[in-house]
Amino acid sequence: MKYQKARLDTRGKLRLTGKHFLLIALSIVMVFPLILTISTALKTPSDVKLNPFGLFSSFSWENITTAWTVGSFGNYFLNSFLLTVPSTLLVVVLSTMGGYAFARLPFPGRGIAFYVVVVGLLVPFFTYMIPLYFQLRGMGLLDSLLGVNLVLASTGLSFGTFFMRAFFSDLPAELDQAARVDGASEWQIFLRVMLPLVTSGIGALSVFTFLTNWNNFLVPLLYIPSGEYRPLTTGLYLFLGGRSIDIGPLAAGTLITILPVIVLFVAMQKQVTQGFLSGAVKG
Amino acid sequence: MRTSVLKGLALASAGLLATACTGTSTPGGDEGDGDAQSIRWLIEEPEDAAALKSLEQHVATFEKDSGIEVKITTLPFDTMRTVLQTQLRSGEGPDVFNWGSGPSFGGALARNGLIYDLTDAYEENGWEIYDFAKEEVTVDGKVYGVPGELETIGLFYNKEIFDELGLQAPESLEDLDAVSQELKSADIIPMSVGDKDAWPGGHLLSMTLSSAIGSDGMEQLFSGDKSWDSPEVVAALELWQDYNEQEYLPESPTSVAYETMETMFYTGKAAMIPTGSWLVGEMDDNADFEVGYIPFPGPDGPGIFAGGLGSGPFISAGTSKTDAALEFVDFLASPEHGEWTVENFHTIPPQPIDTQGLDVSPLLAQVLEDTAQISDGGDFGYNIDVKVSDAVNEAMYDGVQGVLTGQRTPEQVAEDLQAAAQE
Amino acid sequence: MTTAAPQTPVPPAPGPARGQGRPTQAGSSAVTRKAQARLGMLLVTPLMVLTAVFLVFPMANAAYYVFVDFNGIDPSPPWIGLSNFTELAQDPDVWAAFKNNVIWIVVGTTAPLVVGLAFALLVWTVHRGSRWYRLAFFFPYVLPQVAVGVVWGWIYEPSRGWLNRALEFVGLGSFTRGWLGDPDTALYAVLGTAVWTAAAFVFIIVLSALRNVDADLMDAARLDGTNSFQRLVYVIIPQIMPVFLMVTTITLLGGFSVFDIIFVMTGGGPAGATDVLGTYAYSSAFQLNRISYGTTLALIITVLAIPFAVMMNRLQRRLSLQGMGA
Repeated sequence: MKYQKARLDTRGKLRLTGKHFLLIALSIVMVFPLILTISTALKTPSDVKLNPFGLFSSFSWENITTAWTVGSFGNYFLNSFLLTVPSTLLVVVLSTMGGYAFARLPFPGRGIAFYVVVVGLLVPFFTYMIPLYFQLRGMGLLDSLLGVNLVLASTGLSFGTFFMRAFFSDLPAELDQAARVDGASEWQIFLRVMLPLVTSGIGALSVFTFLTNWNNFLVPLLYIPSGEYRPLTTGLYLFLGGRSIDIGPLAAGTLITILPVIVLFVAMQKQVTQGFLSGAVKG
Repeated sequence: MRTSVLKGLALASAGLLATACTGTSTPGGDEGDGDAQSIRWLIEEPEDAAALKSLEQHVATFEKDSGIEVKITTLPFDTMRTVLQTQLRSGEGPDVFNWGSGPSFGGALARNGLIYDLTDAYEENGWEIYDFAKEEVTVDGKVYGVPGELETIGLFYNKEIFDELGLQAPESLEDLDAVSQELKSADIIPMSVGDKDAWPGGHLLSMTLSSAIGSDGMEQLFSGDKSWDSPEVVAALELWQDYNEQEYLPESPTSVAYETMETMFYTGKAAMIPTGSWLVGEMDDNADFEVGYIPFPGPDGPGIFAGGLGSGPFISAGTSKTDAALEFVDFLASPEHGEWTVENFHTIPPQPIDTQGLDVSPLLAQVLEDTAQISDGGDFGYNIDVKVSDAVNEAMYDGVQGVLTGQRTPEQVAEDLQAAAQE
Repeated sequence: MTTAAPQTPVPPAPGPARGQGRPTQAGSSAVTRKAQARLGMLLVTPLMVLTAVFLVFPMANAAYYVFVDFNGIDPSPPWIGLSNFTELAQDPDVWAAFKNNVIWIVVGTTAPLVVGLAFALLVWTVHRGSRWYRLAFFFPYVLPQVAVGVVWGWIYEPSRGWLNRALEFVGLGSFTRGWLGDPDTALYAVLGTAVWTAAAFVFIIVLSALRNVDADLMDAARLDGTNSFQRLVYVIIPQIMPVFLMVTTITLLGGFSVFDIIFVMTGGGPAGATDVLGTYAYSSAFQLNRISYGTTLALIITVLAIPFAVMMNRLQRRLSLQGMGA
């Protein structure tokens, strides 16, 4: 960006102002759907009936409370956490373990094991989602927190392992050799020497996996057929499909669904971005 | 979407207004199986959480009076379709369950021997159910269940607009055409039709077809004696194609969601709305004008209401607690329960109800009265989607959308329906 | 993040662990090697068990389902050989859905690339406010598709939606229509929404790649009297090509398995106008109980996608190798 500063003459300044103008206009277009959601969610119910999409024409919390209680979004919210937190933990822990092993520990069968992970990365969930339904039914895991958490975790494991492997691979080999000379066991090298050095990777993977699992629609749609443990995404979809729906609570439900995502995204933008960038940068 | 229909059906069903949020739903849970005074009642999951509370409170009165504990379990309709048979076969199923009252629902289970025969129970308990409704749960002369609530579909109209323009409720297709022309020239959308969700299309066809060929004709279609590609079916579809071309419907009806279609009627942008009786409660809440409800007109007369039955209780053939289950079903079949559903869910129970002394709106009272007349020998058409296979339903939903967008001709759709029916 | 757009970023090209991190065999004693092997196996076991049970096993099952006629209930479904495939080849709905997939892949890959690149170039050249712009342009991608579908459904509404209102406002009232209910526009309307999210993804990746573009090269090109378009084509794009290809791979593969956004916004309607293989597979399996047929369709989607994945991956690797050699 150095060259830019040096060349800021009047014409350049004018162009820069124009660019900002364009950028601001474009970013308003990009966030417009969010503005619309907030506006509709915060209208009075009578205003929603007449003018659902007029921006900020009235104010009331009523839609939010209706969605939260009558619309069950309060329960969905809790369920989203029950489905997202354990599965994310599982992905992060198992991927860190696996990533370390694949990166730094020679063990018999590593080639084959790695191949399986690669397959998991290439095969879309779509391919096996239907048989998995019947498998879960047979295992008694359909409609259970355990089952869905395990499925969500398994869909993220391959990527997580790859991701963490890249971090461990980048650590210099001298590190563990030195630790070994000092008499550290393999466990200690993993936990005390290596693990503290990949915390940024773990952070990025956690945020990324949390978002992915929070947003997942198909897995809970398929494997939580009963109402119990229904998360926000499928809850919102079923609310939408009702024979008679009110836009007000629907907008409020939409807002409840995306709010945690947006908060997390704004607060941890770096980690989120890093999660997505990993492929590009690390590859 | 298919899901919407199924869920729509679920919503309208009286006994199933319960939801998952209370933690009472433990699918497959069998705690207390050894206790003869505890039964499990499986119902389709509704959408309205508030209604569950009132249903639970209502069931609590039964629990108190009888000493029988009723555990309510809920499943969404789609899921129930896939797991119900398995559950009933495995013996882990519910003792009592609410399921669709048509031949493709309860009837199918009964033919497989999965449902307890209630013929004697009807005699002993003197359940008074409309005959035409009872037929829907009768297989080979045996009555297997208590029919669910009635849903009729017909044409609601805005009496205020009609009065202002000096219009009469249409009593034939010719009338409807004239009325629609008048409304159009007054800059009012004649009929609020929204088929984005696809399932309303099934109701559109059910209405025009029922009024054209009567219940006999409809039954012939279902039994296969009459072909789906017969001229009457084509004509019933052409009617909607024509209304769309004449601009009697909102612009691009396949873009209009059901909710929008309702709003158009409530706000007076549209003067008529072809839909079902499940909307009566909301009409009372949202329309600040008087609403009339008539059958969709037929080619040579006022036509007939079409309709179907929601889900009603059945007893699993495999239950070990038949007596408790029977006592509970007796409660559900009682006129008191019927009255309770009228007042609380604004639905039409499958038995005669004395509206005197009940807290019902004039519109609902009228709907109940119309229904009672049907049982006195009036003709009653069918809601197609509860009577036919999934394949026919898919063909119908796609077909009506296709006709409204010009993607398909009525003839093509009729052929598709016939092909699907033969599968 | 999404099914419509890519699920996950493409990780580094698979292969054995790379240089630096590779355990140095020569320097380690047999005791160390044994300890390492033991820990290695211990560490991968839970991962492998989960993957085997919830991925490999159902995949094997999928391969079996394809050759039988399973309806979801019958525990021993009849063997029907290749009937599912022959039926699929003759099913006009499959071909219509496939055509929509092709449109989706072409438009849904190129449009976000162009839009995302344009956004990234714009943001790259400004300094102030770039944090806000990054947030605004990237956030659509982190949202759940269901929520996105709901809100865009309102924007496309015929009478009250903002798109039609905006068109009327700028004097293009004749273009207004029921976007999602008109078979001529429904697919493109849903695509528009998908582009909104996918462009956000392209934007963030390309922007970070741009940060690594050699500033000296840019200056040199500027001194040579090139215009900005020439610099884009001859200086910038070659440098970000590997990343660009990676993004292309992801959006392209996402186009094969697109599901969520269509399912939510149109359910495949009106009258199948927006059905893609994914929604068709879903409705076959879970709405018509044709489990085997649906599985076959889903498998076809994967099989179709594999050559593209391999091709793009190779291209990307070759390019990044060239880049390193240069």
